[in-house]
Amino acid sequence: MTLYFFSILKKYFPSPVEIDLNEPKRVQDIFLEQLGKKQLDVSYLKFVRYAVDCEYVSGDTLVKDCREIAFIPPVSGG
Amino acid sequence: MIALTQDKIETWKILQSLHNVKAGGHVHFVGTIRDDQGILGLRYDCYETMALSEIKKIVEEAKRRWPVIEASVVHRIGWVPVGEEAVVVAVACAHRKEAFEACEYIIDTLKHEVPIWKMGEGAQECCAHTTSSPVLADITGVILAGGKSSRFGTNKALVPWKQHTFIEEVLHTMQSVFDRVVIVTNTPEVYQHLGVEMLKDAIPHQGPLGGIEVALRECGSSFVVACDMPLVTSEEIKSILSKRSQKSEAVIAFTR
Repeated sequence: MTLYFFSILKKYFPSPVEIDLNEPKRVQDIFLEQLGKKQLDVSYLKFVRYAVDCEYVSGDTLVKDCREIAFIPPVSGG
Repeated sequence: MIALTQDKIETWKILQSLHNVKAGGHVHFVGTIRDDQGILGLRYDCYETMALSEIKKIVEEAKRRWPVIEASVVHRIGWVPVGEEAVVVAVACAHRKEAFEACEYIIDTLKHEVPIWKMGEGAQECCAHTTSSPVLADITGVILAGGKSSRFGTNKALVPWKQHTFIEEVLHTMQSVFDRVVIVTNTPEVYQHLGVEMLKDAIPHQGPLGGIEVALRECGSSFVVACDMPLVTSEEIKSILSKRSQKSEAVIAFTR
């Protein structure tokens, strides 16, 4: 599956990240794992929303076979 | 017409696309890049597939809530110079009132839900234009709907209000401020259609305090309103939240 990062997170993850999961995992844990790889502060957890295959989900959502996960900081369109 | 475009938005074409002889009220909102602190323009980044599907959902919801005949939303992405349109929302209804309300709903919800971001001239996030903050993301919006409405005679939450109901109006306002919104109720089946997380009172029928207790226990920091307060605005909520300080454990609004 492909992980997409946007807005402020793009500074640390300029390109999408590919991962494979052998067993279901919470999207929040996947995000934490990525933050850890870049030694980033976990405070990002407080304001990032998650989307699985273009649908907003809670951090507790378990994923295994989805196409993509997006980590979405507060939006500011308009 | 629902679109994301890198090209200059031609507002007149969007308005023309709404033409319908049954529509007597056309309302459109045009968001432009203003000259702020000497910027030359803003760059918009987006998660394109999701942005389009979220805009479609918002328009569908507007059509469910108001008798919308036609609606268009076009958002610019990429570099947008000062003075040019960044977003156009246009709505056509039989009458002006519902057209104004539907248009406001679409742009307000778009600004909070659609994965589009303003960036400054460089690669940094343009903080001045970010609509929600990490601090607000830590607070849960809580709607109390546990009352029996015994004096009122019928469930107040479901009283019709502006093409929908009291609780839907409150829910929309709360969702425009908070990422997480929950309803505290002892009759979750009544509100299932709203698709929102629900909590039950630990001890039913203890009044609002019972609802506040379960909210604080389950959600931590919470902003609480009753389901029969459709006039509460997002600006009022943010104003109350701005009164918080390190020394205060709670902020309570009251009338003098």
